[in-house]
Amino acid sequence: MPRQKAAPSAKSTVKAGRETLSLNAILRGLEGAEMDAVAASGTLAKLAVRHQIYRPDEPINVVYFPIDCVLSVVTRMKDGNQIEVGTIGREGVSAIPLLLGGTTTANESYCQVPGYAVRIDAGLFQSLKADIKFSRLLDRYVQAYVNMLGQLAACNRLHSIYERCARWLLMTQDRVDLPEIHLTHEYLAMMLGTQRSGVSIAAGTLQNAGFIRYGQGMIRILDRAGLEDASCECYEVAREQFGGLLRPLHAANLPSRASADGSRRKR
Amino acid sequence: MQIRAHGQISANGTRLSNACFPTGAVISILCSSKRKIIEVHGVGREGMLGPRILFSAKRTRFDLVCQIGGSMLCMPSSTFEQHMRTNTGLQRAVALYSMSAMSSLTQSVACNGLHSIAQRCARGLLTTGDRVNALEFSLTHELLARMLGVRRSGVSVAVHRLQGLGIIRYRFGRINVLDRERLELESCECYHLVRREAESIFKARATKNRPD
Repeated sequence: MPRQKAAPSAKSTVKAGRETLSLNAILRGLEGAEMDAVAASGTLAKLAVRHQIYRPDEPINVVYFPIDCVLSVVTRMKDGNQIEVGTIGREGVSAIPLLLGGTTTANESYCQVPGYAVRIDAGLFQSLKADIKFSRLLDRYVQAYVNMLGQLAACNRLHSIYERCARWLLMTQDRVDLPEIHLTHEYLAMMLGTQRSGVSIAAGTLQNAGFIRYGQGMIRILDRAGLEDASCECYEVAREQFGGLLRPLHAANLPSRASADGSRRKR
Repeated sequence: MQIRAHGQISANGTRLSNACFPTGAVISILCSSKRKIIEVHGVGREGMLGPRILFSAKRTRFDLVCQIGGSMLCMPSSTFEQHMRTNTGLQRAVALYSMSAMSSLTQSVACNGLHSIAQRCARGLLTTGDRVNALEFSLTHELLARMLGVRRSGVSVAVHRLQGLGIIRYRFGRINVLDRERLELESCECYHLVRREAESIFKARATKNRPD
């Protein structure tokens, strides 16, 4: 049984259909017996904001393949400051530490943008890794993830809050595949490792330029091209690394994509 | 054995055709953005460079440049791949290094976003000292600025401060660490965290294996 407390909706026993499974790039590569195993024992979980994926230095027992949610990997410093060091959407899988052969990590991960993910036991995941084809797929994903990590290391030092905000919003929208993102300025500031005031200024500038509109815990993207101009080139890098893995989401195959606060979304 | 000159470009980051194992040299993996450069990862005697080791050969915009001249063992990638297919000891060593490099890189993402130039400068000097296994090494302000992704003036301030405190001495392009303990106190926690992680990674596996 997973040790972390899960929000009730995340403990669902709803199975994910194969069409839904294939919305995640890693699961899309499964065939035959491996696909059967995941289809049989995987469940479709609806992850709320801050749903814990794994805690620092604790064994990773549950593995998530995001469908339209976005997970954050976060480093927390001794003084309590935290910053996002990685994001994972439907191009990948939550268990990066397991992919390199570890069992725990000093970082933590939680759901940042609510949505759906396919959930399986870590034990099943380890057995899937034994399949050579699947293992190669995971290798390619790890490569892309690590390349992005290197880019982020540069971005966090070299680029402005304004550019990094734009980058973050673009990367997130690609993964959620909707014009609206559930995110407050406070959380965005935490992810970027800055003061909330800095994010508010950046968001205000983006809004004044007509690229986004925010309010009530949501950010709506109005002008992608404008946002791309505002972003640093790190967004291009993200697209190069992950773009091919992100196929459009078709909401028809998911249970109604109602957001966490119940509001309806227009596509 | 190959000696890499100080500051020379040793490989184009997008096509690394050799597997390289520094034995004395220290290599910087650099990311350039507009007119700014920063080191995103460093590799010395604790690690290696090669296709699909940490960064993949393709689709990165990183450059590999020698930061501190020294020796490096190289072999063609194809030979390395051959050894990797059959030599379980090598596979294990590469896997362990990949894990510790990943942890170090992840920590740098956080460090670069949160910590001050002074803290990162101390961390950089400590890490470089570990890689060359010496208290004294060649490192100009310019190279240090590139490592930290800051302007040279910012680095000069940090270096002068450490010098004023008697923690280091900088002369003619060489850094001399006079008081390592105090330098560790000046650093952010990232230095110790990465070291502890690396130690636990290698220790955990070592107890499972017979000595080679």
